[in-house]
Amino acid sequence: MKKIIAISGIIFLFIIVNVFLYVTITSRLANNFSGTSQLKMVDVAKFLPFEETSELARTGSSLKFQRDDDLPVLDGAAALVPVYASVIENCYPAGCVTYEGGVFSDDNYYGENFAPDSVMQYQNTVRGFDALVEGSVDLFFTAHPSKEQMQSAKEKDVELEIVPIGLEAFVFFVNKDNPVGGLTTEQIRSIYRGEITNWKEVGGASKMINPLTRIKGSGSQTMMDKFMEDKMLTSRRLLSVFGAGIGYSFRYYLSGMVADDHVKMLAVDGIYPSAENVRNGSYPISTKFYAVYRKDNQNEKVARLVDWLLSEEGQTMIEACGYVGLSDES
Amino acid sequence: MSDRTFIRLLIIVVLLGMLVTVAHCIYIYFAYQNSSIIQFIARELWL
Repeated sequence: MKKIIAISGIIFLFIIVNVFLYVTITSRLANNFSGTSQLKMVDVAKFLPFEETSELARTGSSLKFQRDDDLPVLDGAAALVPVYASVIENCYPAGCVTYEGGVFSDDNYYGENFAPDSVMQYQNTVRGFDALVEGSVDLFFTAHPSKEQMQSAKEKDVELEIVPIGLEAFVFFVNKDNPVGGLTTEQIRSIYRGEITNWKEVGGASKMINPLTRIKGSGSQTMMDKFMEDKMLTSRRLLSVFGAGIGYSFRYYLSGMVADDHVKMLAVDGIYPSAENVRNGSYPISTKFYAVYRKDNQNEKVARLVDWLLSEEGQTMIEACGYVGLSDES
Repeated sequence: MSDRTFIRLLIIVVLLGMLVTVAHCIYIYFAYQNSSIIQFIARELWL
């Protein structure tokens, strides 16, 4: 009997360990490259031009391309899909976007749902930028390209025109139940340099801090590298996985596109990242987002489109998408 | 159950348990590096 109890006890112990790991970690892992997670990053089907139900800014345009024009192909970061899809909605002729309704999967993790001849593509920051450099994309919507991306373009002798078209806030977020509502920029830098490791050091609960990072080359990681002046933890720390996390993203992507009620944005230096605070310049970590194209692009409609984005009409559309236009920059 | 059978069973149970746990940890290690940070924080447990 004692032997059976001993064996049962050992089996029970392993079950407990694995259930604990599952509840505290495994159940929270949503691989960025899985189909489900991609749909949550941006369900591109919600932003298809010329579809009545699409969530686009239909603000109108005096710039109207025709079917037989050499139409610029647009691509961009996940967070800017509503912007460039709205550009197509307002300036392009119907019928130039071919969405093939493909299903996101682990073999199709960037959602290659657009036909090759479609003017709208969605390959996200890393691959979309490469497509721009290689020439299959004419105009790319993104946060500022990373040093590595700029270097990669330089090595291929490609010169880029990088035109700021709007403003966005770089935000930090925590779980909605985390009692911390704000941090100073210095506290954030200390957390991401491993100098502050417990939430109680910044007025929160006695819980380890898990400073989460993103993949290299992503728009938010490039912005974070700049914010941290290239001095930060280079990878996610495994042991802090049991602590309470802090992450970073862009305001509209987090609050408007993903809109997960279980996370909350933090005030930085006492200023909450509302659209108004980005607009009036009081939020301390605002950044620009850009339309990028090759300087040697022969299609004159690319420059016309960029000019339109900078016009009052273009800026109105950007505001209607939920971002902040440059015209309001203080 | 003889001592010999018990020892064999014990070794098998411990090895199997360790195999499952190590596989679980390896999965966590790789999946964690690429997991969505928004989802990971959203699903955090605050008791």
